[in-house]
Amino acid sequence: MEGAVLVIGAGIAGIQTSLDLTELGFKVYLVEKTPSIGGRMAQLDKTFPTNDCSLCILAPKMVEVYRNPNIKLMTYHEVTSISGEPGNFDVTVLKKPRYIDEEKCKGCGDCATKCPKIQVPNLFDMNLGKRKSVYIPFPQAVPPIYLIDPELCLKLTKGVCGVCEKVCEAKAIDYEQKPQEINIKVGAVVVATGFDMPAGELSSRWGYRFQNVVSALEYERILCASGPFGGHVLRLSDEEEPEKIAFIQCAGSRDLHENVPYCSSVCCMYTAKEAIITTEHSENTKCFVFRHDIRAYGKNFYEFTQRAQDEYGVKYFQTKISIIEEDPETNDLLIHYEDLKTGKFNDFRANLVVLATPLVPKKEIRELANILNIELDKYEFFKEKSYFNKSLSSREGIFLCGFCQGPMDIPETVADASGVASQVATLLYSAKFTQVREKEYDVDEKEVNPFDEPRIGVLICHCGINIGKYVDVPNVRDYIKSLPNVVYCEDNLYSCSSDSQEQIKEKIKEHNLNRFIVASCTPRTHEPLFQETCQEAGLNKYLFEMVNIRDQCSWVHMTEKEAATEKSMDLIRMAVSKSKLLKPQKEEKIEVIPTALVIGGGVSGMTASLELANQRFKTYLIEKEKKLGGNLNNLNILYPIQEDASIFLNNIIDKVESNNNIEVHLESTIKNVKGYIGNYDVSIIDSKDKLTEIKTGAIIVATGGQEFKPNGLFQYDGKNKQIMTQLEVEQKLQDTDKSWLEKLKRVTFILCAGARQKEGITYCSNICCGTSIKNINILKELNPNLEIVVLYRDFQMAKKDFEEYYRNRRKDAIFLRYDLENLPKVAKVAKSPEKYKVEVFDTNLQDNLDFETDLIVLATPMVPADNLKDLAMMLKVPLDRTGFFLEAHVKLRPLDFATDGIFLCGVAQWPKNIQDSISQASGAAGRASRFLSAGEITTSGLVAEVTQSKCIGCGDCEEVCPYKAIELIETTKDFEDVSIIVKKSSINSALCKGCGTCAATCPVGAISVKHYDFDQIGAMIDSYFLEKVKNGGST
Amino acid sequence: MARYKMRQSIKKNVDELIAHKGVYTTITEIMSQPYINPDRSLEWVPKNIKIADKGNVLYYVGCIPYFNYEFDKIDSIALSTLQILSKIEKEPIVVFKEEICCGHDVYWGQGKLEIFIELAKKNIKMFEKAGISTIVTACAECYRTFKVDYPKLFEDFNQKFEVKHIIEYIYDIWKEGKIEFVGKNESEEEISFTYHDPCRLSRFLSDDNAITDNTREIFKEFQKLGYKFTEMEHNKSNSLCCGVNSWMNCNEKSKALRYKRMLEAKSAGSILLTACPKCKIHLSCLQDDYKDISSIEISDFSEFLVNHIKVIDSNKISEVKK
Repeated sequence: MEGAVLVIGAGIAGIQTSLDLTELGFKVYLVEKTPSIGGRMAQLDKTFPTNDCSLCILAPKMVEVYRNPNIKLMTYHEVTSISGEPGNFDVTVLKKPRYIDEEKCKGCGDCATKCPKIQVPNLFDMNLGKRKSVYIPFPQAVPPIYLIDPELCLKLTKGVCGVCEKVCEAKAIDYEQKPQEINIKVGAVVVATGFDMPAGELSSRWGYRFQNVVSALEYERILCASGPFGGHVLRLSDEEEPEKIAFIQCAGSRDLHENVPYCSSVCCMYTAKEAIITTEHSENTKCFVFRHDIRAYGKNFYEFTQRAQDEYGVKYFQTKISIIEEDPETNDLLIHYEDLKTGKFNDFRANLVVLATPLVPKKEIRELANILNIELDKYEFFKEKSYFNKSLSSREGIFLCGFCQGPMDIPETVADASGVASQVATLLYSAKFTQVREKEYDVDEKEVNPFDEPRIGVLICHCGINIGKYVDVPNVRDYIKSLPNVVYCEDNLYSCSSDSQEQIKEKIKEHNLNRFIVASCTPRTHEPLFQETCQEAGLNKYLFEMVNIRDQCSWVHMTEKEAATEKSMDLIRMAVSKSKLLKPQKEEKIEVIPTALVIGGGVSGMTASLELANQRFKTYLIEKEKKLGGNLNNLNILYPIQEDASIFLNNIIDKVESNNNIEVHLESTIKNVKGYIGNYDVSIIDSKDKLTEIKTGAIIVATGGQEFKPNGLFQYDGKNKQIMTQLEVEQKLQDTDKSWLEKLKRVTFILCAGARQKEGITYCSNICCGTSIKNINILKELNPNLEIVVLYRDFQMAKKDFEEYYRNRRKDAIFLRYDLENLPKVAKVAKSPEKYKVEVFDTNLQDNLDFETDLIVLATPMVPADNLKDLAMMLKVPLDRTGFFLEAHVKLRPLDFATDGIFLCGVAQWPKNIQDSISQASGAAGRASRFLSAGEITTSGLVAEVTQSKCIGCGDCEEVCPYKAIELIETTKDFEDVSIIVKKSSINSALCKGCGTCAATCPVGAISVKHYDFDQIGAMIDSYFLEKVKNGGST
Repeated sequence: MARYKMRQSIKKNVDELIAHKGVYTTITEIMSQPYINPDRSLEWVPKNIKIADKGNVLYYVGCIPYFNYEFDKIDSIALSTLQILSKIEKEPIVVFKEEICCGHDVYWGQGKLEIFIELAKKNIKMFEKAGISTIVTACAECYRTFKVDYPKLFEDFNQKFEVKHIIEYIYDIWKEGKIEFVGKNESEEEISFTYHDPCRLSRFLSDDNAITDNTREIFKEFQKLGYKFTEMEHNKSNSLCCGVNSWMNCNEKSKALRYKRMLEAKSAGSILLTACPKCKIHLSCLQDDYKDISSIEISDFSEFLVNHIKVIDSNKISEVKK
């Protein structure tokens, strides 16, 4: 069995699953068709609903992949064949020629600067920007290696030019490169190939052929500061700022004519985001959204669309678009549409139109499916093996991850990716840690004492001409050489090249250096390399310091050579001052208890437990009720698969109960939690007040949620028998006696009952629309004469199967649309049997309707489980505004808490359906098992520490610590006449991330961060100012 | 002086011992610069009170409002003092928007004598320019600084300006018969209270000048209003310390000292009065840590008195005199 995994596609899905897999003990071959990893997320400007810069949050992960010694990055490669079976696949990968030697290229970009070829459209900018024939897709591309476009390059097409070869100081250009086949052996394959957005394939009525009609992905590039217009919102025909931008939602999605029957799931949200950002960019631009249903079902999503309207003045129209035409004189667009709120046909003139075009499977998906021998579904996405596990393809050993399986947003993709990693780990359990390498050093670390005379070595990098052209490097070198304690100072062409590493090691030995500084590019990508080199030479890696004279000097002061040079001198001098005070730091190892605790025995908790147990980790599953299953116990039929819920439930309970690695504690709750990642002591109390003590390395929170009981709303009070909630109907439908149904003539469903309001519950709870459609259909089948009326606001049927599920069942009921301003009114008209009158203003018909009904079903939102506050306090994890648990980062860390060692999944995080709960649960298990697999955690040397004698125990540090790494420890101290309890701050180095918030907050200066202490920072500041004062310069 | 010498002779960095990473003392140092004129917020001044920038009586506020962001409602001391002064004085009280620090903390805490002198010079200039004759303060540290330390540098300071702590001010006016103490305690039972003498009003002043006995005389008057004054075991110039001065760091020893003080207070009464904002801050701060002493209500002298002062009608005074 192979301990390696092939991951195809290096977007956020492939990146996340690769990173998780390496932590679980596997080598990863990450194959990406394009020259850089990053995928679609790298193209986005911002991400909803937090409006984080997309690349800014993605780039650190890209760099992590680049730095990871256990990921073999194969960009500009394609998989051509695969054979074998789970555990032992033989894969052939085609390496396409870059015409640049990957080992030699340092990414300096000198070649592209000098390349004379006229510019061609840049695919990364959706063909709106330009690139040369030797290029890098975008500045932050990983790997930072250039490539030559063979169809454009004059040398490759006509045999002339060759300028790049002449200017490349690294001698990396190789016009002779040929395609190359590479054979690899892996135990499993993960497919994460993402989606396309081919606006050109839409039918002509959407007007994409007009210059000023762009797709949403093109618009992302227009918005982006690194995009074709530098972040200025301009239209394409005249590069003028548009006054009116129309955003058209569902431009092709949910449309049988366009052959895209499903909802693309993310357009409602990114449209609101794009409109908000546009408004922020430019005061003169007004945004108009032509919407169909609003499907904003995630955490803070619906509120986000409301903010777009209330705070940013984005105008939303509820419409159907008939055609978009161009005014040939002004290149403005005329949108002909039907206003669904008035029923009238109108025209709207916009200067720019942004189409939320469908997100569809990759055009080459069929080809890949053939190579991999896996099936596609009817939408041409990869087909999942079962509704309950969307990560399994039709072929064992090949897993699916992210959008290539069906529409999902980024956090869902990330959760999916972690879940896939967990399932791969289960499959390849016996080959864990067989092919990964950990760095070992053969030179002993030399002792460096604080009082030893500092002997500093400095290496200054030209980075080809990238730095050298704008900074007078030899001059900087001579200046630095003259500084006290600098024993060695040289400059070179590429400090990061492998011969430079040898040079650094030699010089450290030759000059007996005890500090080393490299002044070059960014520590983000290169610091670990140099630290490793120092360590190889026996110098503790914390005695290394890096100065970024590329970004900070040559890049930002490109037009002012002197300033760039002076600043380089300043920055390096400051680093020299700091480096004198650097101390060697130790990285400690903390053992991890290889067991896990899962709180909550619903479908999420059970799935997470099974995943962990199948990876051979002892798992404790705590459930407060008498029975496992949670909310699933109350459900009748599961949609969209129309399967009896009890079949699935009994099956999974059986699996849990028969698994030797799972210890189930029913009727039990958590009494107390102590400890930290890897070492938790948890007390559990059962209904007989019996205490059980558990030692565990990780905790997963899967506490689920419950249905909101809408007391006082629409006459619901629990006493009126004929007004019930969705769940109450489900329970009634579970009974074998269904005679009550025969007496009913008309049933009325009211959707969004108590949800999506201005106050109270403001969110969309994701699952109620689907549940309603399911129940309508069941009722209708049981009693075909029943008349069903549905009062709705928007239909939330995102994801690939649900739109069709809904469309097929529309005939079962009469649908009336209401809005928040005109809530339906319910009045009791007869007591026995109960009868009600419903009054509603139907916005589709623009008319008041009233009718009588025998039964009213309220679709109410999901709310968090009871008593979460106590649990949150014990675990030291936060709840969000709505009372659900708050994850570490809504986009990229959906399953983690900020505190390491504790994870969450399922409805505890947000209302979601069973498929997503299962996906998240696998993901949470995957995240947790990373630590359990490793068996130990290495703490960073860069952590905060407390000077006990100075600490006054005020607790300010504990309050501000985002990672809950600080605890106040109480001891009793005796003085002359009194004894008092003295509190002292204590920082857990396993949890501390070295952010320094505590050090800045401490009122008495008792906390300092190692490697960035006050003396070291002070030395840098002094070095800067004292020199300026000496030179009489102003600062 | 000890610190000044320490600073000069030993290499030890005294600044490291300053609490709150020296924020407050840094503000002081900035204020000592000749070109710095602070633009202080006077938000704490109620709208119905008129203040002036020139006049006879200055209320020297001190650093209290700067602490407000860190210690809850500490500026109510300033508010109470201003309310008392405005009730008694006919002309609007002078409050400087550009008031600077008296220099107490840099002098005592860090021994930065040069900065202290700069501040003194700047202050005197400001007082003279505004035509001040009486300086009233509610801060024990400011009081001692003006009363004792400024005259060491500028001999005629006390001739030019009459410096009064708010206790002294009230005592004198009361003795002149211009005010009386009113407002009976509303509960039926007698309320017992005690008083913590700030060092700067007791043992840090000469025995003749110490503001200790007249304080007690005022408190005696409160017996008829239903407040019973009880001394703590250690009092007047022998009183226990509140732990720290001049924004030095505190530690467990100073906490133990304060705890001891609070136990004394607890056995003496339910209300603890003091007359120094820092004493109040330090003693209250301890209440967050130790529940057994948290029931004691800690108030400044001015906060306690503000609702108990009634100005006697000047006609009545003349009648009484007749």
